[in-house]
Amino acid sequence: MTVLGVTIGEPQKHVEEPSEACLSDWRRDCDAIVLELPGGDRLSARLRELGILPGTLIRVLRTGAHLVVQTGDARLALRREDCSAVRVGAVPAVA
Amino acid sequence: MSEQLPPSGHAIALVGNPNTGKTTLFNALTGLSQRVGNYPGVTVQYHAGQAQLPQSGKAQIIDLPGTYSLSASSPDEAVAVDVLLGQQAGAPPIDLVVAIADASNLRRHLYLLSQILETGHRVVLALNMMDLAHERDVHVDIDALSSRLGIPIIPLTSHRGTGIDDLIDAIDSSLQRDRPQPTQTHLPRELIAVADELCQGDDAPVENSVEALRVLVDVDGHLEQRAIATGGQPLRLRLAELRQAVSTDEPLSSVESEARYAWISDIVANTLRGDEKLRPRRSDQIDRILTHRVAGLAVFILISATTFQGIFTWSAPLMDAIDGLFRQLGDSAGRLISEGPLQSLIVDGVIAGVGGVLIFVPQIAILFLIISLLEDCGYMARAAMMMDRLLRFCGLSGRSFIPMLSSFACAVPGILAARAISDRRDRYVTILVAPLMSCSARLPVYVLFIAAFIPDRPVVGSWLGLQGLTLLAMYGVGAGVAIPVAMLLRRTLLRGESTPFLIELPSYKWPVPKVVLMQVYLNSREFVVRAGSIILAATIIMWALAYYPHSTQITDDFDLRRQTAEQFPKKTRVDILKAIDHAESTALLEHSYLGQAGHFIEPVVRPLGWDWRLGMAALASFPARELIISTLGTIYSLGGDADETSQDLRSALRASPGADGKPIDTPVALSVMVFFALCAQCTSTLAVIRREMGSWGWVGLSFSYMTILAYVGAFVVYQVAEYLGWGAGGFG
Repeated sequence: MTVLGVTIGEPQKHVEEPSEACLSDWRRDCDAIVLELPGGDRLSARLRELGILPGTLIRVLRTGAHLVVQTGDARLALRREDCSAVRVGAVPAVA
Repeated sequence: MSEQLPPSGHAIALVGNPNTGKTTLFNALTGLSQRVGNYPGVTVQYHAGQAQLPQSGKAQIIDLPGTYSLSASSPDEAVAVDVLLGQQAGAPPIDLVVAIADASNLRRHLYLLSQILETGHRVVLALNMMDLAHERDVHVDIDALSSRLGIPIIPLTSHRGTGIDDLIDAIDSSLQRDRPQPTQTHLPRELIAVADELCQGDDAPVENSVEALRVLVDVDGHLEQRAIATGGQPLRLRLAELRQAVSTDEPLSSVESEARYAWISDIVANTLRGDEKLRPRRSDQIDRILTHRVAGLAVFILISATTFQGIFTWSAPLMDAIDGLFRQLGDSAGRLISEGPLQSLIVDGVIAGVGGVLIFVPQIAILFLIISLLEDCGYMARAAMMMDRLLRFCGLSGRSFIPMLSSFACAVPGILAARAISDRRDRYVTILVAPLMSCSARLPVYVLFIAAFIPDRPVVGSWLGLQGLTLLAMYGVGAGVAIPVAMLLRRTLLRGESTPFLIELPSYKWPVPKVVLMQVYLNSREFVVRAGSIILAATIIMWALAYYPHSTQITDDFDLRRQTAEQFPKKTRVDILKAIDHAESTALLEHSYLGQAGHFIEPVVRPLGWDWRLGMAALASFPARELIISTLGTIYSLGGDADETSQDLRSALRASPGADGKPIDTPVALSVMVFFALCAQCTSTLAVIRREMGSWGWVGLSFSYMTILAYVGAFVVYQVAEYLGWGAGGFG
């Protein structure tokens, strides 16, 4: 499957459930696909510039008061409460 | 720029995301020819250096602040955008852009490149970190990518110095060619049409379509604000209409980013392989410890403690050497110039003043050495993330951490570092509280009064004594007071929602010695020049106030006494003459304008436990707090050559009568230290605040709130200490 030119390979761990959640509630070390990102505010505009758009593959590397999210080869640190509006979903199994 | 280059030289801008090895590349291209640019009166700073190109001759290379895109959100990023768009007063028009990108994370770095290509500049892409990309099995087909983008691409590993010669050749030959046509990316046609419309006509609010695009897309961005400053309400309404015309359901920033990433996907299709999977890296394992809730905090505290220890202990021999050097210089000058106002001006004014500034250079250099090391290896971003919790409590964010940390050496570089904070209110609050951090100029005051009045008694075994604890408490006073002050400012004058926090955690790497040392050198030099000019001027003024009106009646009187002393035997005569000299300088000082001012303010400082002499010393320290040491030396009859470790000055302070005739004791010493911890006694800092915040109102605010806090703090500490009976005999 190809999302925005990124061919999605085998995720590190396959997630059964929940299949969709807030980024702030996503489990550590699990891959996810960005489903929804609110528009208009500075933070999401910057996240989009950094390549976090609907359809992007990400991984949560740290949970707690601050999340660390991997996208591509970059690691971004965010406040947990700032990313409650970002919705992510499990990576679809490769056909 | 302190030195303008000949206009014939080409201007080359170095642009890229943060953490791409841009500074290393800049150093490799320019060597030691670089200059820190600063225009008086404007918040602009950039680094520039020279390079010699085989065909094109001399070129000026400008290292622009790292930015993720042309949507500037901080003053630092705004400088990068303005220079690129030719909007920066004093910066030359750009002839070529060297875009630097990280090959191991190419997609994201192509975002900024897509925006640069639309400007119509000549562009050379420096593809850095090829070694890392190779390690991670990321393959870039450079030839195919180059022909698709229509620009030369040079693979580099800048920290190893490979590819630099190729890059210079590519820059050289590109300069020989004409400017290219602006590249069309995948932006929607309606958006381009609207941007073109905005920059057409004689009275167009913006100059070119790239700027017009930014004004449209970046709502409230610095370019929109600038355009509206001239275009007013009509332009504001027109922009709202134009934005509606392009998209009604999505903000334009989303439209832009989606279009750009679609373009990037086309560009990298079949030219980039191996970046599909999210790969773990070694840094992730290190971060498990270094950003761990408990272990990470412990490491952070350990690093901070080592930093402080380092600043104070490692700098001591160097500071002593500088001190000795200037004392010798003063002695030699004193012998060369005959006694009188000129000798006093040169020895007590100029040489003592310059020495007073230079003595702090070792501490500043060590602090910047540690900061640069931590920054270059990638730890600072983690520290900022961990400190975000505490700083958010004060209404700030982790972005304020580095400015605050720098302020422990000197508030001037600390305030300058605040330029990287994107939110205006956060930046202003940071600038206003940064001077509360105990800078290295306060240290001599603490050292002198602690050594003289705080007993050397163990508190926690042999590890921490009462003296060390007092020093720690003095550092805590400033930092502790900063918390409620920041909270108050954030709820009153600078009210607003707390801004989101987003910071990239770069991969850990070994620091590059050249980059680190260059940072230390540039920052120390800037401190010497900036602080030096103001502190020197202030020292000379203070010298004049302490010297004039020079009463000949007093000197004649003392000359008479000297003659009387001649009849004593040689052994005692030396001591008597010395005593007469000291009494003379005290009498002269008391008679001077400064001495008169000290007597005048005595009623005001009496509740703090001070006499006229301490009041005068505090008054004399308003231009620069470190002036107190030499002033106290003069006051307490030791001549101006006392320093904070001088035994004579300590015992003189202990023996001297304070307010109401009783000697200075622990409560008075604590009151003086707290006053100095909180007071805004630094002209350089106030001058930098004026420049960075753009109005005297803020300078007035920061001066008055700090001075009032200092007075109240000193009053409370003195009264409480007196009440607790820490006075003479009761405490030590």
